Amino acid sequence: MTEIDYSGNPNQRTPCVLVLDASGSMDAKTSSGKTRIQELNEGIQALKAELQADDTALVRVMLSIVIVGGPTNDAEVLMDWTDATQFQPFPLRADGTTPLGKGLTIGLELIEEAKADLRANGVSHTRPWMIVISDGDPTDSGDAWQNAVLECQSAEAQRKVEIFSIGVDGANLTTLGRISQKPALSIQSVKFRELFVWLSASLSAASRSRPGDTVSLPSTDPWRNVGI
Amino acid sequence: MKIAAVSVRGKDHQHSGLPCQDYSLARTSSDGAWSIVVIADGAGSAKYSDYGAEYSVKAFADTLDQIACNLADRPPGSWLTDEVIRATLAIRDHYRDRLGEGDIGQYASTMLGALVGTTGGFVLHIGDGAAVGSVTRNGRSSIEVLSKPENGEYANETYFVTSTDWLKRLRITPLPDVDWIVLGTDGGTALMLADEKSVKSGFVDPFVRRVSGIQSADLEQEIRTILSDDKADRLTGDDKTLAIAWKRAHFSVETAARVSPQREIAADGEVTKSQSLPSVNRNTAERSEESFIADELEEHSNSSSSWLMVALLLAFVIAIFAVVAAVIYRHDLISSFGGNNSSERREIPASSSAPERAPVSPPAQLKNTPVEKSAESTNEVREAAVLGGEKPRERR
Repeated sequence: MTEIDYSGNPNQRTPCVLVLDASGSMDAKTSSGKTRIQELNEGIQALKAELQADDTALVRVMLSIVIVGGPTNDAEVLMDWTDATQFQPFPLRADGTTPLGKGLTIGLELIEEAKADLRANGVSHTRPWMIVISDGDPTDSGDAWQNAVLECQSAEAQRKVEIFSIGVDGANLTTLGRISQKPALSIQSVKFRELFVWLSASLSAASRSRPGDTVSLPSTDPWRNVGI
Repeated sequence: MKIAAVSVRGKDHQHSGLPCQDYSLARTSSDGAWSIVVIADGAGSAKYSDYGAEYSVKAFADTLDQIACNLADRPPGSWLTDEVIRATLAIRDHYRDRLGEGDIGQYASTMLGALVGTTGGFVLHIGDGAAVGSVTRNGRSSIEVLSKPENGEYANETYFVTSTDWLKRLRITPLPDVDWIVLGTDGGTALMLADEKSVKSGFVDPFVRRVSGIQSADLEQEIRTILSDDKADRLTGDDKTLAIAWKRAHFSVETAARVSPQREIAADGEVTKSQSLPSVNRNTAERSEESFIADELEEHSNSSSSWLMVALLLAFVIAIFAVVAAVIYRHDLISSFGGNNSSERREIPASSSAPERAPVSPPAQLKNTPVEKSAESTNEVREAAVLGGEKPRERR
């Protein structure tokens, strides 16, 4: 009699794109002595470590990274969709301005590509997330920023994506907050590690979530800013 | 017909201390003619979803029972759909009554139920989970998805009995010609579906074959073992439910024709098969001989062929009486045929030669021979009864 085959099912996916500010201002020193960009890089390493400690999240979470600014002074895909099992972040370098609008547009495109790809392969997925981290105002020329804001609002309203905007060290929260229904979070850059540990836990919960589960969203605790 | 439904709590809920939010039930209708299987998956964070799953499963099972009884008098039709809708409304009202105020979404659960009988049946479905079955078309059978999961766009979303748009999400699907059906919540479909439209035959086929060989009393435990396997947990930490109902016994029409009806009767009357069964190379179930015989006997007690058994028993008893009477009056019969040649003929007492007399116990001289003769005849009669009783029946 043939053995029962328990193998071979494609796991559902939890896609998440990180839109990261690597503009010149990220070279500023923080209270810990490290620069913002250093803290950010360490945070991303923490994300990787946390995900890899979670068996379920490891096979379900998929990540991509859009860099805003940086050595090319542009917004572009730094890392295309990668399964958590294969996630190998490399350090970002800060430079240039903040074409955040363009970065958001690219992020939304990445998400649509991922969904189409998953659908074509019959793999189910949870609602994709876009995490936006910036320490300053967007410097896009012309209508790029306005258009990006409208795109984000519309995509979120149509439930195509869940957007989390995070302002670092005194970024303009009002501006940032416009891209999502939820208000922007404010964190100190020293807390990047905590943020990414939270992100990993949230992705892990989302990757396990069953219909009817609510995934808890980050709180807008004003006391998050307190502490040295 | 064998039926079973099993739910096991998944690893995720074990770790988080939540109860199993799946509920399942399998039973026969009150008139014994239909199988009823109903399963539900309570929504993860809904406060009372385990209650909701249990309540709605039991309520729908009762509704299916009523529908089954109605089907004895009237053919299926739109009345049946309306019954299901009425039942759902009643369940939602029950939740409202319990809450007073508040969102009935706290009782949210999916719903998947089936009524299976020899003349057909149907599946009712809201949300995810799936029903699959071995469907026979033109003499060929294959495993198909009979009612697929509906998740909406995202894997962690679906529709519930308590959803506002439940009526648009309610699906009622008549059954095609099936040998068996298997229902699963999404924990179960993680094991048995490759995607929403295709079955993972590497799981379903061996699963059905394995449980086909099990006695009804052990069926639930067997399914529980399969669902609790570590390998199942690695696929998903979700609560898992699988339910199965057979529409007909375990051989397809084609296979039954290949099985020879010849059976050997051993000296003590026990039935053995004269040839081993051909292996079933299709998706219908394959079973061991012992369980086949055991289940045939089990079906004997349940089926209308018990009447046949009673008739045969009566015939047997009458035959015994006839033989005994014939032996007692043997000398009368022989003399009426005009034969005096039997070497076993005994002296007939003068008093017993009169043609009409009341039956009395035989004279001492005759005592031995009747026993011998009746023993032989009894064996013949019993063999005939057994042969007659063991004629191959139409497989249901």
